[in-house]
Amino acid sequence: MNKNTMMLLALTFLCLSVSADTVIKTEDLGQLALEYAEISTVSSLNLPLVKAKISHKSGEAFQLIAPFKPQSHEVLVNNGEFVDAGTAILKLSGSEVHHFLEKYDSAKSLFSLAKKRYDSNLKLFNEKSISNDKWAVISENYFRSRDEFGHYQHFSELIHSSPDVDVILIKAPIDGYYLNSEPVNKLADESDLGQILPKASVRLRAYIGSAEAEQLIYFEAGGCHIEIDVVSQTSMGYFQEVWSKPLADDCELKYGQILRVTPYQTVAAYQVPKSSVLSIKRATYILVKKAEELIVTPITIKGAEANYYIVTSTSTLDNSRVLFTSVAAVQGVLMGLGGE
Amino acid sequence: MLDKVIQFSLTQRLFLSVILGVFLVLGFYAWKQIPIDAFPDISTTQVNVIIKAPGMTAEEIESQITSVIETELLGIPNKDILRSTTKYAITSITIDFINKTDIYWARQQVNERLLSIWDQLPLGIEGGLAPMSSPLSEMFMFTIENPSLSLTERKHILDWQIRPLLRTVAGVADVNILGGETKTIQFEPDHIAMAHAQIGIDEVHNVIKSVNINGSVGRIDVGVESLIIRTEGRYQSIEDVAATVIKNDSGAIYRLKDLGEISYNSLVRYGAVTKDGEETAQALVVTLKNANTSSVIDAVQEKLRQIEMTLPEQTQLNVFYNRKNLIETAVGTITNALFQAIILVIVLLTIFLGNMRAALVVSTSIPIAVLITFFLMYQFGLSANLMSLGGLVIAIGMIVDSSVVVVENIVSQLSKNANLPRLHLMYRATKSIAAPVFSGTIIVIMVFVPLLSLTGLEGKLFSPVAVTIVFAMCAALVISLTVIPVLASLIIKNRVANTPKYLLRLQSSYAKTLENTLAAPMIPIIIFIILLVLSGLVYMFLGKTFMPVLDEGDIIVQLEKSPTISLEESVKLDQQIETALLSNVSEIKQIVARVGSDELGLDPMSLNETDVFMELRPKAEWQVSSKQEIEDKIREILIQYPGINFGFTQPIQMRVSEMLTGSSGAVTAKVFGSDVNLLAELAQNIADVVKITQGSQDVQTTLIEGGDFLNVKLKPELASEFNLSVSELSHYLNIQVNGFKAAEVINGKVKTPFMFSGIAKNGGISSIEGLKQIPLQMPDNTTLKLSDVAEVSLSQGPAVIEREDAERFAVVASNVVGRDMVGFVEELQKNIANDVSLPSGYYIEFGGEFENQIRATRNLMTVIPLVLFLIVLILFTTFKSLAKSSLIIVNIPFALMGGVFGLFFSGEYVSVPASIGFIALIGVSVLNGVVMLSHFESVKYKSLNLTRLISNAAGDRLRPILMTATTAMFGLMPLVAASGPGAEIQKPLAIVVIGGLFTSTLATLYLLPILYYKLEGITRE
Repeated sequence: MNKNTMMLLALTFLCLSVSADTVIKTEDLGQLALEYAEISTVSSLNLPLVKAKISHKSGEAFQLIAPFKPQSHEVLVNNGEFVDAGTAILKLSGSEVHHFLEKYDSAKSLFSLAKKRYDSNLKLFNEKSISNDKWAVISENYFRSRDEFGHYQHFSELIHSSPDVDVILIKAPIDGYYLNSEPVNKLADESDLGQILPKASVRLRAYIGSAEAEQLIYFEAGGCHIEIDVVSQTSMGYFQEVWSKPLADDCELKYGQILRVTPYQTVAAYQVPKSSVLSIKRATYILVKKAEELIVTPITIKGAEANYYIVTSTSTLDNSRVLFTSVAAVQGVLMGLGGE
Repeated sequence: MLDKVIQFSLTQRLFLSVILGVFLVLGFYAWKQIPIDAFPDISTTQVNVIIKAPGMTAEEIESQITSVIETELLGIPNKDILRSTTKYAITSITIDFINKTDIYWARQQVNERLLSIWDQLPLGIEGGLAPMSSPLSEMFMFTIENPSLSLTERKHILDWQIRPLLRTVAGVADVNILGGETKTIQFEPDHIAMAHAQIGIDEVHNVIKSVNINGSVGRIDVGVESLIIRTEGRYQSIEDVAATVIKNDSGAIYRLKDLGEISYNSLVRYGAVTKDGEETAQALVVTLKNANTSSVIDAVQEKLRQIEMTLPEQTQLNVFYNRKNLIETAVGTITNALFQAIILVIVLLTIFLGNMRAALVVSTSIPIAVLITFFLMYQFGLSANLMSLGGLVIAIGMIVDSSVVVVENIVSQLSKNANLPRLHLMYRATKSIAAPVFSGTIIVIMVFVPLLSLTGLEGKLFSPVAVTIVFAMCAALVISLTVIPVLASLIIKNRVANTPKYLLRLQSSYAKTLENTLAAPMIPIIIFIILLVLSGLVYMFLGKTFMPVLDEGDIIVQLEKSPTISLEESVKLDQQIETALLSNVSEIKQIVARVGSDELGLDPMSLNETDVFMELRPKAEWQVSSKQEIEDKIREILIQYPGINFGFTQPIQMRVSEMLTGSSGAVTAKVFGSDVNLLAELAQNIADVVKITQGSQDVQTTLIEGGDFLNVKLKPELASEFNLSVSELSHYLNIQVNGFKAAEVINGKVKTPFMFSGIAKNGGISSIEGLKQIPLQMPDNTTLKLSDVAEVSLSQGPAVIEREDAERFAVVASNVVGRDMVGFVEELQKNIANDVSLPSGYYIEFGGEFENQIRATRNLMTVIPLVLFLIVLILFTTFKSLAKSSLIIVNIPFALMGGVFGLFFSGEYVSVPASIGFIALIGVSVLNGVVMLSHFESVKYKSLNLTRLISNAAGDRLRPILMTATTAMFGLMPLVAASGPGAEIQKPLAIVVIGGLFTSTLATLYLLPILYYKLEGITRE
């Protein structure tokens, strides 16, 4: 290609700003090393690393509440340790434990009496043998004692029996991770003894920019592929809260862990080598090979990973090949450079 | 006065011999000590200021740095011109001072002004005055080769082992390191960890600054001793850096390694070097201005030999440019020419004088005059170079003239065998011709003295020629009147051989032809006039150039690629081209290509610019016969790589071109104005006009447009919410994109930069989207994306901004073929005036080689009339007749005629050296005319008819005229025949003088007698 042809090509290129595809014959590129790469399609695009936390949604953990304030509160498992249902996880001791057991016993007796009285008077009431007022008192007494007993009974179901009247052992109600709570005396007449978090409730939580959050499809962290479950529909300033689906067993992530994760967006795009991209007059192009010609094809860069760009194009690039060597020289040709 | 000198010499022969011996020893000493270089120092007094501003665009640097400095420097005393080139991250400001300004004074002036405004310049910039070198100071270059060493290791060796030692060599201004990678310790902040720890980057920096110091405390007396106390904190290793405690939050200690990744890395590169297609690192030794290049190179080579032994095994320092090779070749060419000239002249003297003893006496004057010339050169600070030695070669033929006249007269006096004491005969013989010898030599000196008034490059190049010739002629004059009579008294016998027979026959033939000519004078007059007119026509068609190109031996091809190319891609294209050249051009020994900027910034090229340096194999191994053919082969290869501009140059040629005009090209049109886009548009319009102007070739426009920039503009209402300022954002992004030097880790003499940088992973940001997504740790330690608080947009700006005397300009350069440059420029000026409309405040200046040629022509046009006036003055003083003086002046055009024919037949161009040759020719031709005319005058009262009188007198003078002419011609023959580097510049001069002397001698032998015959005939009537 002589200099005049190149100049003409350059002028055409610049004037039209490549509104129509500009074509360069490969034979005009002399001895320039011309190597081509397959353009592959991609469906996801990674965003920059974000901070994330292994956590759980509010309300998904089993709360362990003691109906009294024990003098001593010993955790028998490690915080965050996975425990099977029935495993002793806490040891409560002190006079309050004793008082609790006594209260439990008395509540149980009272409930037993009240129930017996209630059951025996129910028939009489149905036969209208006792007055309404009398029945009301019996019923009230029965339900109150049942509530009181129920209150103690739920907790007592978690208790392992112990020979020592001042000590009780608390067992895990379900399979899950035991999570410590502190301080113990946060509640007025009760004690927060921790939580048991079911495995299926352990998720990854991250805050993603509002513009990208809706298109997110998964996170990647330490080789762990984590699908998105829900994106909060309320914005927290610049971000939206994103929850993943429960973590898979093979994801070796610890509850409470803060980590960096790569969010991936859904995208219909192509992957091309970074060295295949050129820009002229603020527009970006690649050189797609068609037979013995290079088609100057406009693209939009959506993102980058390692040595590749993720790009979109108005042209269909499936099964195409793109020039990835000597691209800057071809750019020079398009700009009218070349010659002595 | 002259009589007394001659008398003293002959009576005090022993004393004179002692004095001569002293001068010879001093001359020999001077020859050994005199600085040897390829060229005289052609640089102006020039001070260069180089400022590096990492991350700043050309426009930002121009407004914040270049214009501030320029404003301060504009008022500096003795300033000639102020030029600047501003590119991405660097600006180079050059101040040319008027001639003879002391370089130290100039540097001090610039430095004082620079310091006074330094505080007004942006933070984070580096630089100042460039080393005190000249454009010819790049005299020794080598790469470091060892396949087992990485680029970082190679640069490390150059930086910390080789450079410090070479800088101790006297005369070395600096050692510029190019290519390779600079090892750094890098902290890549983890914005998540930092935000979690509630630590900002500034806090980290402040802690590092406060930790990385050794403090002095004082002394305490312990017993009878005094102990010095100091505090120690300086980092010694990467582990020290990593362990720095940044924050202690109630026992939770955050060390630097907890807040990011610490690793060894390398600085962002602004340039690279490849050797034969593989990346490497190179060093470039820069000499101090006025240093003795040869001795500095010797010392550098000796130092490198010592250093090489301490380098890792298998490490080789591959020298690919050694100025001494050029110096030795060029000076060798001239020295050979000098010796050949001496031998030729001695042979000619022997042939003409027909007397070995007389020839020996005359020949002795040559080495004596040469040694005295060296002594004078040494005393006056002249170096031995192509030009000064060339001047000596030119002078060889003329040095003997005065001695020839003296010896010939002594011989003729002795042959008369007068009955007088021998010494008295010598005295009388010398005394009788002392006055004409003196005036004749003074005429030649007078011709060359006005050349000292030449300015510009031609002045700097040819002043040494003129000075050397003047020194040699003065020495020759003194020798002819002092040493020669003494030597003659010792060597020449009383009885000497008669005139050789061939000369007698020649004289007889000449007398006959002259008589015939005098009988029918119109035919030769018409022939002479026709030839003169013909020479005028030939002159019109002669090619014209400013200066012949010196073959420096090596070739540089300058490549220009797309202006936005990355360093990596630029290097890849260079590698392709290097591989192709090496496999197709067998004459190339090795290729070292340099892309982008050097470390010192002495030559701030952009990433799209490459200088491909080719060292050629010895000529014996070439498959082609000339360097031009090699260039053609290279051209054939390069044309196969479209999209890349290329041009040929040579190491010194490239630097001289940049020094003189800042751009190369025979004609340059600089359009001045303020708006870069408009300048680019005007430059393009001008380029279009240049292209259609007849004679234009290789029209090139500077690529001032084409810089793509990403503008990051803070959203003020959002930024204020987080107290984020532009400077903070800029600082933060600088760390992410470019890296920020937070401290230095000093280990012995090695200083390793400690950088905050975000580019360690994934090669940094590689797209606009990537930049938009960059996480920003806000001052309140929340983390946002850049696009949350700033607009990111793509815009275009100038890639390079060039300024002259604080005004922006764009250049269009063109070579001119097939027509004279002045005519081309006149037509171009007219075309531009018609076709390009300049807005108010915009104007065009024309320059380039054309400017030099115009200046040289103007200077020569001043010098030549001055020379002629001086000659007329001397002639009038000698002959006391304006008419007779005119007879000799008339001889001049016929002398010039020969010069023109000489250029035409040899294919040489009219150039500055050719013009100097014409001036020299005037002197020599006038001298011959004087010899002839003075003899006519001395015999005109003899009672002979005029024809016989003139033919006899002319016959008498045939030998001296032929001797002076042929010695001058043959003295220059070696320069014409020389083919090695260095001969190109003197060749046109020699050709002009030889051609001119040929026609001048014919004119003296035939035309002058005819004209004298006519004039005397009129007088007698």
